[in-house]
Amino acid sequence: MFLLTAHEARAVGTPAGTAVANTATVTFSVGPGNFTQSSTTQFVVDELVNVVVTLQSVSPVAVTSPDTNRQLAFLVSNTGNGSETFSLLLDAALAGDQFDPSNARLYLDTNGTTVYEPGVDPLYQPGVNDPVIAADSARMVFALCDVPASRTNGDLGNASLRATSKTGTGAGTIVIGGGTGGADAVIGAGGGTSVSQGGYLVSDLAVSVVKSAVVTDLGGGSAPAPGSKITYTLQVSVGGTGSVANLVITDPLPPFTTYVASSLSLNGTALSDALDGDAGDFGGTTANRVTVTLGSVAGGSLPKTISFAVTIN
Amino acid sequence: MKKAVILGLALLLPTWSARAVAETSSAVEIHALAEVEVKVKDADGKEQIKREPAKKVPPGAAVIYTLRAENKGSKPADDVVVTDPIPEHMDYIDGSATSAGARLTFSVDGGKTFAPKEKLQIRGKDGVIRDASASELTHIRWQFEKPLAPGEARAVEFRARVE
Repeated sequence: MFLLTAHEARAVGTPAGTAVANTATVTFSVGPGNFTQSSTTQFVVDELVNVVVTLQSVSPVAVTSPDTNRQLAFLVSNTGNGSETFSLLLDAALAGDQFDPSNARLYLDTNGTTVYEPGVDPLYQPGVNDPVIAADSARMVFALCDVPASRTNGDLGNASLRATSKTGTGAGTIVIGGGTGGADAVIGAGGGTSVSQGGYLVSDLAVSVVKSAVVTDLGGGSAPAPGSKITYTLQVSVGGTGSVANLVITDPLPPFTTYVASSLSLNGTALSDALDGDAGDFGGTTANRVTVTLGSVAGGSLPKTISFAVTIN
Repeated sequence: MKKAVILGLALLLPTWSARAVAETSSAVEIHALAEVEVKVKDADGKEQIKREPAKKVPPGAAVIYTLRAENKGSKPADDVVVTDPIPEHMDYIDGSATSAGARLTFSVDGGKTFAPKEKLQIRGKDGVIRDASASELTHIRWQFEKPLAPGEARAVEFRARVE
């Protein structure tokens, strides 16, 4: 039995052009003499061309009609083992939706951010600034589109980004000498091209929060004096078509007040003050703040009622 | 100065290589061959798998290594042992090494120690001891059970995948 430390995990994808040599050795004895002979064989690692485009934005993006410069972010990943140049194609005239986003443009990220920066990220011009992406690296690309006027609620307009290797296409195609480091390039299973789609949804979604307060003083009246209790009620409504995602309501305590322990509730059901399995907490997510996570809420659904109490210092 | 060194080497080399040839010319020679399997269509249009020498290989492809030991001498060769490192950038394909007529062992420590695959264990980064995986093997060794008679040749084989 041998106990050893596992050696460092090796990166996946041997770089294109790497020479892989193998030397086999034979040892033997003839009479009293011991001898060694060896033989070496070698090959070169081809470039495997593979690309994956993935939409980064939460899609569909809620837009108004008309709207301008709405962004869809895509990540173009070179999953092959050699540096590649890719041509990009933004297609906003897709079938199966209600409108075509207009004025579709592509911008190339220059500094690793996830949001388009005007004046920093250059406009993509096919054949002029096709992105060169190193093996196992990725480049963010931003599609900016306008939304035409007179579209109604719920209308969807899709756009797709396709990245295609400039070395070649067609799974299994071998481009002699086309690989990095003088190796051949083999077009991978994806055919040297990949496409991803996102969409724009015309939506009038609006979130409104109405906050009310009821004061109870120590004498049973409603005078806001030290020791008085204030019960706050937040009514959260979502209007419009579709649904909002990840809706989180936070409310800081007013100055000179103290939170009343175990006073938090959602729709009449008590929530613990601790940051735990239920939807709300006091001070757990953010200090001195009530936080209630409502998640995905459909437009036009029943209002949500959050309630908690403080005392005046 | 540089000239003198080169001259010195030139004088030494013939003597050294002549000795090496003298010692091994009457004995076992090894030949390593790397091949890949390719699909070809025969005369009837049927697909057949054929082996071709590996020259350029893409990541993920399997390479077949054949190591052929031949006794070109006039006396039997004893204690014949063929050792082959799994090349860098390659992972051994589990169960692919042939073992007929030989004791097959592996190393996970760069060829310092050898043992049958099922007895090799590794201490992971988490400190837990576990069986070594095929990709952690560093060397393969075949110890021939019988001497290699004059004129006799024996080949062993294994497969590894380009990372």
